[in-house]
Amino acid sequence: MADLKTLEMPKYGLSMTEGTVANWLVEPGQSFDKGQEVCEVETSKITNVFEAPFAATLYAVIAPKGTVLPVGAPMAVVGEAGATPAEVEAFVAALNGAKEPEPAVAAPAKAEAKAAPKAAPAPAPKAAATVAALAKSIDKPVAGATVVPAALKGETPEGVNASSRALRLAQKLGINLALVTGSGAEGRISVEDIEVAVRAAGGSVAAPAPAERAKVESHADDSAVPATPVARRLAQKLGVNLNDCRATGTQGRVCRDDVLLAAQKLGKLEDAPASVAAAVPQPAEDPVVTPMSGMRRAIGARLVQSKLEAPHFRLTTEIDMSRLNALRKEINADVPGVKISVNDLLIKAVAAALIKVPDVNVCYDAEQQAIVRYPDADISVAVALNGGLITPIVKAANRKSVTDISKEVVALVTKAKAGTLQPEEFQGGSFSISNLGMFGITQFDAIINPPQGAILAVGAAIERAVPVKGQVEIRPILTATLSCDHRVIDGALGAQFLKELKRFAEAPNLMLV
Amino acid sequence: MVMQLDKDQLLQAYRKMSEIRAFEERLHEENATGDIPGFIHLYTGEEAIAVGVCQNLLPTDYIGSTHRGHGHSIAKGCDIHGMMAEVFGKDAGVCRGKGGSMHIADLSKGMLGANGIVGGAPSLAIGAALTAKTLKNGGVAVSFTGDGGSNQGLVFEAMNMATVLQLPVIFIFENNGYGEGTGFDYAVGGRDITKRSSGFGMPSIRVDGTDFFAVYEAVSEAVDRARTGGGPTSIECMAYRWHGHFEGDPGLYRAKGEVAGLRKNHDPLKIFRDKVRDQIKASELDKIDAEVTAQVDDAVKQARAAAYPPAENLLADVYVSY
Amino acid sequence: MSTKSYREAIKDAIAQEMRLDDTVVVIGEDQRGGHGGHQPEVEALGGVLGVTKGLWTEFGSERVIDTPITESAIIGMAAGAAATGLRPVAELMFMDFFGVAFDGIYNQAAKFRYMFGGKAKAPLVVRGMVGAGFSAAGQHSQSPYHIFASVPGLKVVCPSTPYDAKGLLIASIRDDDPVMFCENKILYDMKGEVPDEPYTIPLGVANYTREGEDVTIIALGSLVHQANAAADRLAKDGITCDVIDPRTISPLDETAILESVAATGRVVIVDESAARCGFAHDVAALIASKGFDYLRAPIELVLPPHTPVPFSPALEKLWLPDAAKIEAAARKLMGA
Repeated sequence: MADLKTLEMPKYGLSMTEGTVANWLVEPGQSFDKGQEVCEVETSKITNVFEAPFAATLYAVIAPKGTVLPVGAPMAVVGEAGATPAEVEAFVAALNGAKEPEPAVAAPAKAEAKAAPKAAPAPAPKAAATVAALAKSIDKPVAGATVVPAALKGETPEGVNASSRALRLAQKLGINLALVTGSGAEGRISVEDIEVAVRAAGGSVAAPAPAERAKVESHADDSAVPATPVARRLAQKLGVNLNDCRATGTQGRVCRDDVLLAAQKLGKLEDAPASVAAAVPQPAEDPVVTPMSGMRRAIGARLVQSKLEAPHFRLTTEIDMSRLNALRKEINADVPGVKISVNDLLIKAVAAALIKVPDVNVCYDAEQQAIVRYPDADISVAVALNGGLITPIVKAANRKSVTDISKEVVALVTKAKAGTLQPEEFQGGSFSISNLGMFGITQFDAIINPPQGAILAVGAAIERAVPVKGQVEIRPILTATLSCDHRVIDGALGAQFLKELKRFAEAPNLMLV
Repeated sequence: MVMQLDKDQLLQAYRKMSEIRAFEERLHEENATGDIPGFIHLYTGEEAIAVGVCQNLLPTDYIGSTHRGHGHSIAKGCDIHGMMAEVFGKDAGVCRGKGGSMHIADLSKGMLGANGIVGGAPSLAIGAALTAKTLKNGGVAVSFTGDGGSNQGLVFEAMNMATVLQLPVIFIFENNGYGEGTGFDYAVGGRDITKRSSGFGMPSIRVDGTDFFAVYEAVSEAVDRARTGGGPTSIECMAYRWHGHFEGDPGLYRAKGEVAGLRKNHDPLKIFRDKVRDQIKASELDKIDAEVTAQVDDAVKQARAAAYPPAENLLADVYVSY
Repeated sequence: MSTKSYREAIKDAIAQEMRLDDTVVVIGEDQRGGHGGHQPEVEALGGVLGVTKGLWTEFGSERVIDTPITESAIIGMAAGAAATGLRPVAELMFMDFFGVAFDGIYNQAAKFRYMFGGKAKAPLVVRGMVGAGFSAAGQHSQSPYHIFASVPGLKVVCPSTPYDAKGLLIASIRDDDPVMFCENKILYDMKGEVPDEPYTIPLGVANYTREGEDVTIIALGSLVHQANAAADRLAKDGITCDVIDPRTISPLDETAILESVAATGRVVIVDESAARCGFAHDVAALIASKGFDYLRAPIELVLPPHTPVPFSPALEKLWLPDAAKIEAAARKLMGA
């Protein structure tokens, strides 16, 4: 009988709680060495290669490519050579049957972790409330309630270690403190110790009297107390001294609410609302505060820079998409295994227009105070991610076929979502496209992706009635808005680019000639 | 040099290096299970430094360590079972599960503690050296600091104090090429730690930190100097860190194939084996490796089975008395 | 029993402990002074304000250790020495300098025992001056003891009289935990009755310097004397006060404070450490959470403004709490 075990989802870094099996690098039936790369594991941050912790044979993949597993969950069944399919099946069945899905080795540790806090509650800090309670009761004794047994009566001799308040209480009640055991530092007797001793000797101690809070009213001159004019008038009207008010207003001033609150406490507000504070509407639930991720902060910093430094102007054009849509249908129908999107064709059209109007295919070099013009159209495509966006680049789109562009976009988007884009795949680019058409947005402005000179914001193509050769026809019309950095691209130049783009998109055959 | 150590001493040194290797490589695997709380920083690749230093020390001598302290702890004689339990956060750990990987300490073994503060050891080590000097017990103290830690101001203050007071202390700088994820070449101005220490007026030397014998010899001379009232020494040991700064560090600052090259060409254990080939049969060293592997296996098994600290320990041992 | 100054009481405590215990050493800048100068055999300073003068003559350079101006290494070395068998009394000169020296105490000594599972101790005393009133300006007048007290593992002591200074310092040196011993510089010349023989005052026991029934005033260090003066003036008008000097901030004698508050129901807390997040706010929070039901009026805080300590005596006088401000706060609580 071969010895079988599992490979478990590893933990990379403190924050990792789950991972995705991105790819298996070893096939079932294959053997691997210790340290050999067995599979790729993807986390929210990074893709890592999982190295075999020991040499074995892979018998069964429990988590196929794409499966998301918590840390420690089994990914595959492995073992020494010679296991029969029946053995493997039985092992997998046993795994599935186990109520605790966690790996067997980890189970005892986890169980202890749960049990530990229950073992014994942390000792509570020594309560001082009862001390205060007793002392208060002595201060305002309830008649007949405190009874000191004769056994404790007497005069306290010199040198007994007791707190100042305990000594005074003992004197008042005629207790000999030499008969009381102290619980404080170096055996010091506290008021609480006296209480305990009185009770232990059969006596009783008065219950604490309810707190009596004096309504202290100030009669001092309040003309110098900082207050808002409204508050000062209201205070005068209600007969409230501003010295009795809290100052919660701006600049440490007493404000209207402070006066109302003080008036209410002092009983000077006959028909005031029950609570001033209650009048303030409270939000039903606290807002959720999430610290910004590194990506969010980077987006913020770059776009603020762009918005602050690059003088944006915008040009909008409408493109009739009839022929581009038709071309797309034709290509998808004629070429097996290819499924290009409108976006792929637009990338191609933009590339063609950039080559035609090369002065738009530029970046701004602030350091050298120069305009950098690129020979190829390296087009950054904005991809929305959970909690951010990234702009992978279709390089030299002008020299690529539409099917190549399509395949490349799919690959880049997949990598972007998996977090495995290499820096050179998203840093650089000569022009950007942002497309929100799939969300039904018809038109919008985009912020330039610095140091590029321009970005194209692409909306959805919607069917509109348009005049064609004197007739009204229904055509899919797409609105495209070009944002330009006026430092490097002037209005006429931007307009010329849009004209070329419109020409290529409306007559895609021109891209071939 | 090889000849100055007898066979037992050589076997002992190899055993310690093997223990460090097995402990760290096993932690690399155990950490991936998710059962180890907190940060782990592995010492693999630098074994010859810790062992080359500590083979010169007596149990009553003190060392202060870094956040990458498992190797120093093992070399100074800390209990491997207790260390493993500590890393797992268990009550049976050397620090009863209250310090963890970054704070393994055992003062009874002269281990003043791994230290979560980069550059934390030198000032504590001069304190231990002051104790030895004041009590005139012939003791020495050693601080371990990385190339990253060598840039901390307190390290300079400690070196200055050590020469001013002529303290019996040895500053070991483990230059493994990276401070966290930043290269030594970038972060250490002047790119030579020994020049800095010699500026404070102490003998300073740079040695190959992957060669046990080079480290042992330099430290042996420094210990003799310290014990006889000759004051401090600084030794920069050039070595390599095989793993990331911490476990989970993807190591994006490394060249492709860098680590594979280190394992092949700069393995302190292999280098040791080559140097003792004429005196010690490989099978004897293999036997030590097997024993050590079994020992670490057992330590993991016991650590996993051990109990977590009870809740009442939360409030224990903040003060001696309060 | 003889009359001694606060300064002499402190030196007395160190000297007596050094005679009793060979592991007690003094570490600091200019503890002797004159090393490397032109009078090599003279005890030139004895601490910058002469507090430890005479110790070097009696104990020599091996136990009275002059260091470079290197506070960070002084404290780090003292922490290492304490963990390995000495009982260092390290001097930071002005506690303000903790800003360049905190790692050895904050991350190291204070945490050894807990982090190492109860198997280590760091019997270390860090002495230093605190307090405004000396025209020493923003970097030599602060009282950062509230920061020390927020660190678990540290004990914090603030003596207000020569008698307390000696008894508390001997207790601190004998204590097995690290202690921050905060000497108020304007008290150095204050004289009082001090026993000649060694004695200890336990850490964590407050002292009532006045006893009364109407208001509880809590103050530390030199402000205890301002609080006493205020209480004496109030007594003439029939308002009597408990004046409580906690003497140590960590541990804090909560019992003594709460017992008094329970009886008076009115509290004035006086402090110079901070206008925000300071000692007064900590005590106010203690009273609000454990003694709220016994308060008859809001707690009054008499604090400096939230500014650095100013240099000019004219401004510094405005900055510091004093007897008049304490008295006004107490009268406000009495509604008068």
